Amino acid sequence: MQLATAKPKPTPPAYRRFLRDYGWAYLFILAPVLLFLVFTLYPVISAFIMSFQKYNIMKSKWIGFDNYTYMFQDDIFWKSIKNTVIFTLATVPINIIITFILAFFIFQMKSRWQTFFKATLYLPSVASGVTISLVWLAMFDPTSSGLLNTFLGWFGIDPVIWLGQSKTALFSLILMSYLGSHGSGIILYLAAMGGIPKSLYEAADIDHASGWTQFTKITWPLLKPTTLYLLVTGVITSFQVFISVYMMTQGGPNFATTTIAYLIYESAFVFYDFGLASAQSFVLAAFIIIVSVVQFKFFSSDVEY
Amino acid sequence: MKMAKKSMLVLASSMLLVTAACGGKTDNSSGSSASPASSADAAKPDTVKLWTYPVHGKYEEELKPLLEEFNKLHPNIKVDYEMLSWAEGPKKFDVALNAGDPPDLYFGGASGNYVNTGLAVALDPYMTQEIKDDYVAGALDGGKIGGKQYSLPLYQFQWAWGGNKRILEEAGIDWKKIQANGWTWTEFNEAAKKLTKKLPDGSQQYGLVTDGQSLDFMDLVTRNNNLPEVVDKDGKFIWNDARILDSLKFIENLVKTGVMPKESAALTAQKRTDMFYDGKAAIISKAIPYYDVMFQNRAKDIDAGKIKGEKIDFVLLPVPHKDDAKPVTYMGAQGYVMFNQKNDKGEQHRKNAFLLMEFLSGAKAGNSSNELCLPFVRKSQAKAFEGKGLANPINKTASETMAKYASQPIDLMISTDKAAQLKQFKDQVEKPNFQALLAGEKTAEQVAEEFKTKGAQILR
Repeated sequence: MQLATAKPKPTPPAYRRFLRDYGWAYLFILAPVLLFLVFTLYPVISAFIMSFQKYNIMKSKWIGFDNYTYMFQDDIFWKSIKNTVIFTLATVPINIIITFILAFFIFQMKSRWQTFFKATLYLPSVASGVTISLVWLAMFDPTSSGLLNTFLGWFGIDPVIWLGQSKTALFSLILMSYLGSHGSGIILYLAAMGGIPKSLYEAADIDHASGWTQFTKITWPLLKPTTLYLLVTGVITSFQVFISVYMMTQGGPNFATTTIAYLIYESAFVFYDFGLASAQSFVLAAFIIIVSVVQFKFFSSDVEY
Repeated sequence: MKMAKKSMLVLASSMLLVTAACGGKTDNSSGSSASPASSADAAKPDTVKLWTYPVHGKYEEELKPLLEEFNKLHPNIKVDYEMLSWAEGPKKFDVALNAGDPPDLYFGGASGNYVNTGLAVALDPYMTQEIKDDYVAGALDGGKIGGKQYSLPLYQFQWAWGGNKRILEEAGIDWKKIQANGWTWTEFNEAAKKLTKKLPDGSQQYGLVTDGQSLDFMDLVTRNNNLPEVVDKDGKFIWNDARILDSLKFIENLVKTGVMPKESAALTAQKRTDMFYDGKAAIISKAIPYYDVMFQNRAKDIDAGKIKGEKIDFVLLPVPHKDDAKPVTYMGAQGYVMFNQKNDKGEQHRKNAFLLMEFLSGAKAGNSSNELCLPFVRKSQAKAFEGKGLANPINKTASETMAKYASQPIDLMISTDKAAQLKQFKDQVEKPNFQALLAGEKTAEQVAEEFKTKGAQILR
């Protein structure tokens, strides 16, 4: 007598097993992937191709490295790089110091005052860059009735043509950056300061460590990841400075405030030279990547996440 | 491994799909040589997209009934119109144009940049003899580039200077004589000395005010020294001799002597106008005849208590010319320009767009010249609207006198490539150097030398 054996259950095809196990997961990530493909990857690839073309909406012409060659031989491009680097060096470190000092003092305050100052200092981050630039434009009014010039007049100082002369125009934009946009940095620093265990300070107190020693040995090292984050994002933002230049100086006078981002805008929307603008954009991207890598290399060795 | 391969395939296919969807190409023909449309095509429903501006205070009020009337005449053509703001509109248009999707009709002037995109439509095939004959002599030229008609002018613009009548008369300046006969740089300098003074409240009154962000002032001065543009009609660079140096010295001297504020380089166009409104400047360096209406409206607002300030009697003044040069008034045309889209909509669509273009530039649209206090561009417009202008008769006469010395924009006469080089020179050489001259950072000689060197490179 032959025993009836149970028919083995057929194995579902591989793709069915895959869909059963991972189908929903892939469906959920499809939306962001599509958004990334359409709004990031496709424009980036198109811009890269465009950087080798004399762009025309009807028929672009392949011109090899001509856009890059022209760009590197152009005095205005190098001036814009110089202005951007000066702007970055003059704003990022000092803004981090200002942000840190403000956060340090706010951290000592009672909770309700902390909330008040956090909200107040965050307000400029919410306001549009255009609005802020228009307010500053009025403050930099070059006549003696201008806000800043009236203030200087109280001390007997002659009116300054803030945005109208090469020696003060870029400085004016730098000054504008010092006096605003610390809000998000302060929030990050306050959160990081709140995360430092109190026991470390108690132990330091027991060892009679001075306030300065506590700062240099406990506070600062433990805030390093936040500082590094602010440094990297600050450099990236500074390299892309545009709105204040566009609204207030349009790169002038005499290219004193022409930054690389403004130059890209000008190439594209003033001269309709989208090929050159794309080439300039890729050089800007390369600068930002190199600087970011260097920052991580030199400043992140003892940072723990 | 198989799974990974399949995932890759899915990802790659979606990428291809996306790329194809974004970059899909269709027929790109400009369409000017498309086959003639049948009468059946002419009756097919169509939508014409129109982007325009508040050309004058009542333009939108006038445009709506015009469009309704057009729609009655051509019920199959729907007009999708948008009123842009002067501040944001040009940027919006630039983006649309360079994305290959401009509106069918856009209000502006003919421009070499538009032609270079390959999307601007030459109107010559659609221009009937009747339309051509209706335009007053020379008016159509303001819409031509390289001999082809790219715009149908709605009105002619005219740039001049403007004066505050009270201040001029207090200083003993015979402005009526200036309006009638023009004035030289020497005569202007003498007048400017009288107009520049400290006011009783301690503030300064300047003879002339300009802004440092536009090149209008510099261009008006150089045109009045036998330099119609940076290049001549043949595209030859001409800002390389004593004429440009003299013009620069004239400007430099205005700042040095205090006739113009030392902060001129930093003044915006708005600040320039504010100084004129506040009586801090006797003459404003760029004025159009429409200022007459603006100042009349401002006076009404002051009377109604809406704003505070002095009511200003505005007088239109010609730009002074160098003593041995001929006077020149810069005039050009503004009107509608027609565009194709990257995805061509066909010849019948272009014909429909032209029908609308002609309607919006024809006899019934003639009030724009009245509102803007400008000479009519079409005989039919003059017939319909003559004598209904808003300009003060004194300024109207001055405008007509100045029109006798009209000079058309050179960039419309040269090749589009040369026009692009000219734009580059203006933006990258003229503007920064003009600002440096106003700020006292460069001398007239240094600027002239820079023009000569860079001009030879860019406009060779």
